[in-house]
Order: sequence, then structure tokens, then C-alpha cells
Amino acid sequence: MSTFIWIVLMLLTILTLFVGETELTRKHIILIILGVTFFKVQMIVDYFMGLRKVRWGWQVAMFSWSFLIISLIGFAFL
Amino acid sequence: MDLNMDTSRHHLPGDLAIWIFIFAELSVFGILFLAFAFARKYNLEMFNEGQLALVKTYGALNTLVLITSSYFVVNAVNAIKSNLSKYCSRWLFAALFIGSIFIIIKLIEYKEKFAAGYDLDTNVFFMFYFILTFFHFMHVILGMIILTVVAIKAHKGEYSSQNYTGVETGASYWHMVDLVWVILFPLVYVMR
Repeated sequence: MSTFIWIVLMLLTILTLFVGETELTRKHIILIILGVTFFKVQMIVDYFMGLRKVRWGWQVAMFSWSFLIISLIGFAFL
Repeated sequence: MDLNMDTSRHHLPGDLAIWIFIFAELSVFGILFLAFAFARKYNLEMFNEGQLALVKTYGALNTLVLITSSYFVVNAVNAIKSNLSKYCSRWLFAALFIGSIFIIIKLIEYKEKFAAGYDLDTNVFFMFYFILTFFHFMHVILGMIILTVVAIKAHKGEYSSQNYTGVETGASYWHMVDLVWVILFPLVYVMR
């Protein structure tokens, strides 16, 4: 499973780089990049850090941090 | 509040203290990220112009490097859970080797920036660029020191499938370093 997650994270990183260069509108680019970043963070937290199987309080704490920070970054950029 | 009360779930990887430290670190990085994002909102032209001076490829390469290094650390944890301490130490040394590529790329990037005349005093964008990336760089160094200690102990056979909290503690810190960069890269290098 961790090998699959690693490949997905690598591909999403390359996608992030290229989305920034596309002809899409600025708003769409930012939404896609932030969405991908949020997904990548959750993958690292769940599968690399191994929080997927620990008590929900820790998962909520980590989810809240990433959701809050990435949402506020989005607010500042849009 | 005891977050470990539910025994039907797995234990928290590593030492509890490292998780308190990780959350403290994430809070500081979170504040720095938001300071960057909101400073940009009021200095849009300066930030967009400053970002053009950065080499996105360096940022992307460093993201791939840290993700790969994190993946190797996951393999090290899996190895020690199977009581394979030699494999554990090999994966950790491989993670350290990959981690050192991050250091090299970052130093090349800093050298190029300084040679082009950019430093902390250039403008608000470069002030944030140097503070954010150098603060993260110091965490990479600390993470590598921790992983080196864990790798040496694993090589000496000091961990086993019954005793691997130290490996998980070092691994958790290293994943945090990776996680922070995953946000820092699009924020500083890509989004405009």
C-alpha cells in the first residue's frame, strides 16, 4: 500500500508543477493546487505517519490543522 | 484529555512527546504560511515578480526527494516491525542519502539567489522566502540527525519487533518535515 501511496504522491507533485503552467484561469489553478495539496497532506498523515489507525482525536487534530491552513491560504489567494 | 483511551485502535506511532513537538512545529509553520499568504495579498506585484526569480524545478525536485525519503522511512518502520533490524537500518541510511540530495539542491538554490543579489533585505517576498525555506531547512538537518542516530542504533540491533518506539519517533518527525514541504512548495514556488 505504501508503494502505491508513494507513486500517487510523486505523480500529484508533477501534476502540481504542470497545473501552474496551464492556460486555466488563476482561480481554477489555485483551487486545483490547493485541493491536490490537501489530498497529499492527508495521504502522508494517514499512510506515512500511520494516523489512519490511531484514535480519531489525533486524526481530527491533524485534519483540522491542514484544513484550516489550506483554506485560509485559499482565502488569501482568491 | 487522554487521546489514547480507545484501546480498539492502534497506538500512536512513536513517543507521545514527539507528537506534542510535531503539533507545536506545525502551529509555527502554519502561522508562517498564513503570514506569507496574507502579506502576498497586499504586495501582489512584488510577490509575483519575486516568484518568477525562483526555479520551480528545484522546488518540485525537492518535493519528490522528500516524499521518496519518507517512503524509505515507512519501509524502515515496516522492516523493524518484522524484526529485520538490518533492513531497517539500510532503509534509514537510504532515506538519509536521499535527504542529503535535498540539502544539496537547497544549497545550490541559495548560492544562485545570493549570487543574483537576493537576500533577506531585498523585499518582503524574499524575506519570507528565506525565512520559510531556511526554517524548514533547519528542520531537515535536525530530522537527518535524528534519523542518523536511529539508523546507527538499528544497525547495532538495538531495536526489534517488540521495541521500535524509537524508530517510529524518528519516522514521525521526518514525515512532518515532508508534510510541511508539501504545502510550502506550491505556496512559495507555484501559486500566483
